[in-house]
Amino acid sequence: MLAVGATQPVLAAVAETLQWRVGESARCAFYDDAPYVPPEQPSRF
Amino acid sequence: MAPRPWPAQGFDVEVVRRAAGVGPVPFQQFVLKVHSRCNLACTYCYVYEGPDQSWRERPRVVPERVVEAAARGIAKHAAAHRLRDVHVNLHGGEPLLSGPGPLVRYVTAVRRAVAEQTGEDGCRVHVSMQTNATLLTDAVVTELADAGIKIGVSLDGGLARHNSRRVDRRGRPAWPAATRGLRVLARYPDTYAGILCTIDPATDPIEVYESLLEFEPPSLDLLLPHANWSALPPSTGAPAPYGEWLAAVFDQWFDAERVRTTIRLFTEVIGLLMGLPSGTEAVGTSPVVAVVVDTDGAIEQVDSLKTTYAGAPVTGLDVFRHAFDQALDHPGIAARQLGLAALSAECQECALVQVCGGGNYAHRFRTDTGFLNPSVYCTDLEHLIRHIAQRLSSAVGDARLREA
Repeated sequence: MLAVGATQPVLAAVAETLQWRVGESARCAFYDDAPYVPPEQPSRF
Repeated sequence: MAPRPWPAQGFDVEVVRRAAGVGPVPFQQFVLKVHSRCNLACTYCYVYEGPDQSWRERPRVVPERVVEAAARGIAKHAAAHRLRDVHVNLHGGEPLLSGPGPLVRYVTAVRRAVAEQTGEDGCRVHVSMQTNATLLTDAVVTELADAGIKIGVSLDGGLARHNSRRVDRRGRPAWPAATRGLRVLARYPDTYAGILCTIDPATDPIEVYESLLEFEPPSLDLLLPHANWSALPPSTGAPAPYGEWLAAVFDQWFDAERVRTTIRLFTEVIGLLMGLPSGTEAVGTSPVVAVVVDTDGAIEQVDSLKTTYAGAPVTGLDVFRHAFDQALDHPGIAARQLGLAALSAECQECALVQVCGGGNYAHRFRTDTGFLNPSVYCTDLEHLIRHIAQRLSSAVGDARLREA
């Protein structure tokens, strides 16, 4: 999805976080006034 | 003028859903009120200082019968919709005012009920709590950690002067106790969810950001203060003070040589710019899936609506007599699951609509027209989104982003 190099470590981390969303047709929005716990990423295997 | 808030009037849920081509989306986030009072009296608190004073009528501590009924309701909802995950957020007031015991009992009841309804390998229950940190000790954090409860902390910045409006009932600063609690929490990285910080545009954004990083938050949530067209946000006089503030933090975060924390808003905007769906109510058009259970068992809409008008979060439903499915058909909740169809004509014609999504629903309110307006932060959101698009475009060389 995002082809970024090591020169942008934050963007590379964001891309990794977002990678598993690719192909999702729908997603839900969560209430902001609650702690944000990044979702567990599904296994790649 | 008395409120005429869309969608509370003139809104036929079935007709609107059919026109929008959407159906109800099951709740996946349950905000459970554990304690209705707070040990702080922050001068800007929208729960205690805002137009909705319903907290005065609620039980201070959630009674056992509410806990059991809420747990049963969540479990039935999870089973009926075959949910793989639900998120429980323990809220107050200050949820730790009665100690960790009631929180652990609430969570245990929910987990037990969900396991009974969906099986041991059925729906997973993820739990977090939002606190002002003043009551966090090693013993408290350990008890919550053992119960699998992650802890998020609310702060206005990482220095005492950023938190001058966070005071106790006698006007004494909460900062010393909050920092003690945060330093305890930072020793438990597996339990530390992060820090939630509401923006004050009068502060130095880089100083706020860098000072918050001193507490090593795994994630940082930067929130726009709850405001609307009938209760405008504080302004510095700049054209887009909040957008400029956020853009400054974005650059500091984005250009770092190592990843120091996750910032949800920025991650979500980047994802939206790349065409992915959002996961936060602040931006994007994904259906909102959060519902509140107050200490009296009332099923309510999210607390941020309390900043609009008295009674705005009310659904008239409760966990004793109603299922959560019934709340899905409430106009206020259905409206937040309509995507683009819930936005004003001005928003629908905007080039940035898929990214902005009209912003936070509460920020669109105007007394005479309800929620069918652009965000009161429209200019700020546009500034931030265009800034991120431009930075992202330079970073990945995707010319399409320049068109945003």
